[in-house]
Amino acid sequence: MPRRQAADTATTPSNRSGPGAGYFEAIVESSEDAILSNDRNLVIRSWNPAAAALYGYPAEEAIGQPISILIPEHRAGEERDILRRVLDGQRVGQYDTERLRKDGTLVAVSLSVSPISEPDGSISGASVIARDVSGRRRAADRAARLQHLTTELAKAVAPEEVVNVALREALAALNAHAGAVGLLDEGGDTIRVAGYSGYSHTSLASWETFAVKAALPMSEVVRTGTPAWVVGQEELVSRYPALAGAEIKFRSRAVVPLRAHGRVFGAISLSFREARSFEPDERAFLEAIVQQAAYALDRARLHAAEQRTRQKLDFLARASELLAQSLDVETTLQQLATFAVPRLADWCAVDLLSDGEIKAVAVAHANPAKVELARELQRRHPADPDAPVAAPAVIRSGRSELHPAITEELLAAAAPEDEALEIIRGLGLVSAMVVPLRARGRTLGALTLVAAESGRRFTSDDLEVAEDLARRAGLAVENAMLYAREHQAAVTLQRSLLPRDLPRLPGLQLAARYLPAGVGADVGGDWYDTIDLADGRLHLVVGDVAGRGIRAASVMGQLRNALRAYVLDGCSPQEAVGRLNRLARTFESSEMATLVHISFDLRKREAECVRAGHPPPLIRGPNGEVTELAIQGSLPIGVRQGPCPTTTIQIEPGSLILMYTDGLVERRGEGIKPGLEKLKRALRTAPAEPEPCLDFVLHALTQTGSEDDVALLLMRVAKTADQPLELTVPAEPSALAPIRRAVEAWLADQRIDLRDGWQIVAACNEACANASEHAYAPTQAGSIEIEARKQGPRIVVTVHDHGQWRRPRGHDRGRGLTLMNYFMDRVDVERSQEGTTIRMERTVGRGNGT
Amino acid sequence: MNGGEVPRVEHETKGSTVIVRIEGDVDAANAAGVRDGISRLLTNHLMGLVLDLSRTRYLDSAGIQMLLDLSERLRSRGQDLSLYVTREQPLRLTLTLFELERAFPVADSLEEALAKIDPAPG
Repeated sequence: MPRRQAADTATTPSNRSGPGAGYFEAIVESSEDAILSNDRNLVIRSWNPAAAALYGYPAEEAIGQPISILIPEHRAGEERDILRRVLDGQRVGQYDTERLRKDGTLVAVSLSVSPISEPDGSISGASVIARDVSGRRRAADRAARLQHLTTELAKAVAPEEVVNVALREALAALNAHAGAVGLLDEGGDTIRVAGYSGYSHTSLASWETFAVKAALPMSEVVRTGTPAWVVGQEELVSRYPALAGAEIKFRSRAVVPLRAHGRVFGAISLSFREARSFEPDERAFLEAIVQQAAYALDRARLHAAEQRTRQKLDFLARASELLAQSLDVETTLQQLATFAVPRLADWCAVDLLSDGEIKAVAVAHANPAKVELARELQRRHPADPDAPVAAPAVIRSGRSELHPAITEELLAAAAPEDEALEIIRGLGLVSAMVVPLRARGRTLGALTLVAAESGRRFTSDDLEVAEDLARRAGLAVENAMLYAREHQAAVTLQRSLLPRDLPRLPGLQLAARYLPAGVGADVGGDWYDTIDLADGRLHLVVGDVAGRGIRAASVMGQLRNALRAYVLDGCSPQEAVGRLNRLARTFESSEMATLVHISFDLRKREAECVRAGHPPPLIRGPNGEVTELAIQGSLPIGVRQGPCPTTTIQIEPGSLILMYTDGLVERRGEGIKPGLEKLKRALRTAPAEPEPCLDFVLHALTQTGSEDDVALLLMRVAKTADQPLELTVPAEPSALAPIRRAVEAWLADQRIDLRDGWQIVAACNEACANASEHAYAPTQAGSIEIEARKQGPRIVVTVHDHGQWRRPRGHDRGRGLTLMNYFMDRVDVERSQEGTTIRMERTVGRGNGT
Repeated sequence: MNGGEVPRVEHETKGSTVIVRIEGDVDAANAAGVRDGISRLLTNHLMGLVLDLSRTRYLDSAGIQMLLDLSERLRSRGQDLSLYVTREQPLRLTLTLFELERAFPVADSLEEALAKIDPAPG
């Protein structure tokens, strides 16, 4: 039986040449590792006492049994694989697996399996050394858990997320049934439950917050900074009598402090249904987890606080930007109110003190209907300046009010009238702050911020932000008010210096405009003037003093008056401008100005013109063509120079002369050229009557807002009664309105009442609409020529285009032609190679309407 | 190209009727735009549309087409159209010329125009 003997004593090949068998047997018997062997048939052949201890089978029960009694079902395949390798002569070392004990439990083992070789080299079986590694496994498990916790905590950014992760991991670490995280409040007197799991809502309701000095496990741990391990119900009740009855469900308790940078700021508490003890390794493990969580939580809270600060600063910076955008007080404050909602509050209102009265200037809420309601409320129930709370009180005292909770008494004090009170109650206001708007030590008004739908309660932190916001707003309001005052003064001065009425003269129509620059810019020194000498000459002046503000406006006044005086003295434009130049050079600060001065002889229709550094006026001839009035120029006023050259120009009847200042055409970064081209195009299609003409031109030129002030003076020289209308316009629908205006103006020149003449205008419109719609292909930019003549009582209108007449088929489906036929006595359409001519006539003055 | 003037179009809702007032000139340059602007105001729950043309200075054949387009659109949805035009306005003649009074009511006052949409009970 030597072979059997060898197998039974688990002799390994390497040891065979060593000391005798008894020696090995002794080692095997005393080994702390389980040592066993099996034969090729997988029957257990040897079994040391350690094997008996590990697996629970005594030697006599194990030997002779198949090795499979030790192998859990889910490991069966793996055993066959090991054995095949060993029977091939390989050694399998440090193989971690699980084995089945006699009592059915699993045990973690590390195996070394070696072949048992016979002297002939054949392999008769396998020896197995097994070591219990449950402890090691648990440690590895816990290391992995800690690793996992670290990863999870790193992912959690907000403090609430960290609390949830920490709680989940602590519960899993000790298989606890319930747990809670308590955090110390800012004051340090109370602990607030920040998260919990496993407790019912009702059982926890009374524990939402509790005192640090209370005789409770968590309070004690936070006070002492030492963990508490409570093993059973009895101990729990005896140590913490307050918990008697409340804790029937849970018998054991583990509470570990949350500590970072030496400061305890809370604790994690775990509850267990069973009475259980806490092994030292378990205690250490839980403490390690809570420590990790504590650092993560500390970091998250710091981050959250930083973020709040950053948001606050960002909010204030953006508010400042907004406040700097406009110099108009009410616009600025309305923008501010809109900006504060919903970032800071659900409602924002601004009241300003104005002549001793409190004026609501801005209100904002996310819902426009509510804003309307609030405005209505303000209209019907203006703030009582003596109210003991809210905006009036804050404006009187200059001190902020913070109402963390809005009470019924507060509402009653703020709104003594029943109706107003009822409406305000309906708004569901929760919390409010009212802060003064101050600048240079003066209270200008108040900023009211109210929380409603959000349920937000304002804190001293929020008040700080609101006060900062109000400080910035106060300065912006002050600036805007100062600006508005100065701007108003300058505009008033300027207006008072400009002529109120324009002269009415036969054969001449005039129109003028002065436009101050947009808000945010100063007034300038632009002016226009007309001087009627009642000797058949009319003087027209448009000028521009360099610089801005009240000073420029007052220099303008002096120059304008001086020029008037020279003209009234009988000076020609050349003489007047020469004297003005000498005058300007005597001013204390050297002033510069540009101007155009025209003296127009009404009888001869002759214009005597001087142009000093100023853009040339535009003229639209009776044929509709727009050109620059060719006046020889000289240097601006205020520059030493010889006599200014005079240019005399014959003006045709039906002409329009437009004098303007550069604010009309000059745009920053563009110069004067693009604006001038735009002006020429606009004037080409503008109506002939001076007032609508100026409206039209201004609309076309100042859509983007003018950076400078603008003065305009327009003169129309009437057509003589027998003069025909001749107009050339682009063949497009946008020309229709100007065509109608031109025909109307011409009819007026012919002394034809519009009640009689409007059909002519309408017929002409339809003829031109036809031409613009039918005559040209969409890509072809053509033109239409319109001519109207008065021949005795008959008005003859011809509309000519250079395209091919097409059968009417557009949107109007021939209605245009119907209208022409109906409105005119006669309509002829003549088509030729050169285009289409529509000739229409109507006899006027018959007294009937059609 | 500058030139085309855009008439001022304002609207207000009275009950289930929308009133649209057009001030200025309606011509071929803007009629389609005005029509589209008004169409956007026409929601399903409206009873009808009152066009207040009492301040419309001028309406050409394209404007007539605009009225017919709107009328058709409203009729297809079972909604009414009525016009308010004063007796003195030249455009009244244009409406008569194309017999538009047969397509929809043309009233002398806003109240009358509103009544055509939502006849008072009794």
